[in-house]
Amino acid sequence: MSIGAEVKALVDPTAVTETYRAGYVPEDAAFPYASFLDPVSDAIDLQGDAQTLARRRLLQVDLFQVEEDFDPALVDAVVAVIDGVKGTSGFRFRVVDVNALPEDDDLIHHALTVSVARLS
Amino acid sequence: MAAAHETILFDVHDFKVYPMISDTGASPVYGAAVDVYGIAEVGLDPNLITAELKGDGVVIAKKGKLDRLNSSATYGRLSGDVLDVIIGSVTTERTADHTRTEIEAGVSLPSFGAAFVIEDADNGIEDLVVVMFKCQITGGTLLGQTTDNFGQPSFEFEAIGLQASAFLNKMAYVDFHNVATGVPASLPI
Repeated sequence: MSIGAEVKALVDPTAVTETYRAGYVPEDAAFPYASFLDPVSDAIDLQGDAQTLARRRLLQVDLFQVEEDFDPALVDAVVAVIDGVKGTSGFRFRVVDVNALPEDDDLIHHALTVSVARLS
Repeated sequence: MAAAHETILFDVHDFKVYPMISDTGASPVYGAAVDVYGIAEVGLDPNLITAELKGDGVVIAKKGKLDRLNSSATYGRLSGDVLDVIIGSVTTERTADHTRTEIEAGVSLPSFGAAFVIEDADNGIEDLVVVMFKCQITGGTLLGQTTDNFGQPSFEFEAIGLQASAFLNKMAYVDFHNVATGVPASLPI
């Protein structure tokens, strides 16, 4: 299972009704809706013996809610199901940031930046 | 091609320590090499003893000696086996699921050999190998950890000259190799 798929599996049990691995909201999306961008970056985190020993990957979880049904607790709930969970890489997911992003439609969009280390 | 006397240096590729068993007789005796995994930073600094004679308002004479080499290593994985070599701890597998590194107060610091290799050098030079024969730890952070970051243990040590007769006062070798050798599998070399 990819790291992105792991994060998706964590989010699935929340009230988010549909999840896709893509960076956009499809026309027929049901809300609340989340999409996953994996990786946003995948940088060297530890070097030694002239090799890369570990990397740190950043993923983005985009959570979309309809403005009139907006539930701020859902953002916290999605953060809670990801943050601190130990992944199959042996390292814990950290939600390092949550940003509200402007949308043209009547959508509320929160982008969660998720960080996780992994051995190379 | 003549053996080189100089090279540029890039990166550091391997580091090993060797427990010193004795430094008497003709040759020093060492135990098996222990890999210091994930070496990320090494250093080699001379420690000098100097004296000067002043008179008539000027320095009349200066005398200096290189009496030891100060060195350091920063690496990537906590290792009980490395600690055993550098601080004299004892690492044992107590059960199939449990290993303990036991550190006792009052134990005399052990001596050890240390060697590292730099493989990225001038064209034609495969390895630059530095060997220090008789080292003792002087400080460091054997385990340091912060939230959500990889820890990198480090230790500082100093190397002095050997006493064994065939290696008397040998303190370190800096070897420029035109063929790949890596760090020595065993000491002395």
